[in-house]
Amino acid sequence: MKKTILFLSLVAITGNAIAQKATTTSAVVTFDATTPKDALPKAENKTVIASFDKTTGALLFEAAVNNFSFTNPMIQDHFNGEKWLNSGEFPKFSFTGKVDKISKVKFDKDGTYNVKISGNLTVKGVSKVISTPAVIVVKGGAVTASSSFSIKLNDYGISGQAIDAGKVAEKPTITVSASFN
Amino acid sequence: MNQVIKNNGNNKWLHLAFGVVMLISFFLPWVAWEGNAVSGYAMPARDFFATAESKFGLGNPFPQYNFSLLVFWLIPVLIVLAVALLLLKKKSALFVFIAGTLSLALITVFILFTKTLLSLGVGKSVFSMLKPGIVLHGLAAIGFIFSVPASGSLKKAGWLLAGPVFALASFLFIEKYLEKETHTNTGEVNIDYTISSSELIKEFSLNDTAANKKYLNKVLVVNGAASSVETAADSTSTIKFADSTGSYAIFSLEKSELSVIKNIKAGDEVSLKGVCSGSIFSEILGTTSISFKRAILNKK
Repeated sequence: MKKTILFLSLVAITGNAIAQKATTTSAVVTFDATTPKDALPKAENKTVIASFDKTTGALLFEAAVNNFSFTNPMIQDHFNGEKWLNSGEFPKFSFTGKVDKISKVKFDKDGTYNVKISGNLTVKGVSKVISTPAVIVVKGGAVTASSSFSIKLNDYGISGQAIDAGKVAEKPTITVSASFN
Repeated sequence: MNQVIKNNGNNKWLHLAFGVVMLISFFLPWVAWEGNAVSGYAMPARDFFATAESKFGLGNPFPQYNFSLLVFWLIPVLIVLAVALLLLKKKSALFVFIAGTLSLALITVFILFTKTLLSLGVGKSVFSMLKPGIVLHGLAAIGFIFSVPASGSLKKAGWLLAGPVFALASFLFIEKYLEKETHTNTGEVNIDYTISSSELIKEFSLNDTAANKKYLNKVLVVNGAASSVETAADSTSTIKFADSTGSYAIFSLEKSELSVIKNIKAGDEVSLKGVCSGSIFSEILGTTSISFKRAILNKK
């Protein structure tokens, strides 16, 4: 009898934990490496996978490198090329982190919360710790998380004369937005 | 008088020497892109762009005009002809000028293209990627033009500059054109494959390597029942096809499609056309995710 109660309790706890984890396959990530000299290196990926655990604050992202869409075909090719993101070998960006002090976010009532997110960003097979401010908006039960931060391309083994010549930003801005219903 | 004859004789042998050096150096390495040596003859042999594309992803922007590169085979052919005519004491100036100007044009293209590779992160500097063959060929081409007997210096200078100026102008024009180019509307591009959503997902799930090789950057029309339709306030919209395992194909639709997408709901049969970005295995979902960009509703 005790075993049955224990088992049912575990199922209930696990079920509750699963219910707290929301996912989306339509998060949006933009990559902006434009400079005063060149407005072309800018792209958007609207099919980014994300998950968010309201209980633990765990936040995960995965973006297919090849699905970043540029307006210019040449820049699209360069972005995916071996010397840049090398999407053939490293087909996705990923982020594994968490929202700090998640308990301060009240998911049962509407509100806007300024939070801090920290974790590992992996680009081109190189993982770096990042920490960035973010905003969580709770509205009608839906949760939207967004953040904007910059990365140093050289940290991820991406270099080239285009960066030195100021045609590609040394520190592009990454903007992330995900809605979890 | 004897002095004049002697000088003409010396010029002739010098002219021949320039021709021979030009001919040999055409087949020597001109550049080395991170250890990948490329010779002058690689351009007409079509190895030039093939090497750049396979190693660094930078191919010929106009592959449909690849045949025009064959013109550079004229360099060795005209050198041989010019030398033969000279030995036969016939007029060879025109052949010399054309061979010389083509050589200098080709050298200019090699240097400018190497500079483009440098901007992608290949090598340390243009100079460090040049090989002695290109310098030798350039000097020999200049010498070959200027040692042509019985022609004015101004005319020779004109031929000398014509190739590099034409190559530089063409290169800058193409560079500007490529910078301003945008993707052709998906509705106007040819379809590479038409497939059902279930077949597509199955193909990727069974062998993603083969499927990625087959479909990456190809234009596909995918038919099936939508498993979800999402639209956001900023006109962002996606339509997804999923199978029973959770693996899915997702289409990021153009903003122009929004008004029509609003009428589509999960379960509806749809036909979508988009550019395949390949698949990733999602650690988050534990499924295969196949994504498409620049997608539209397929007008049958």
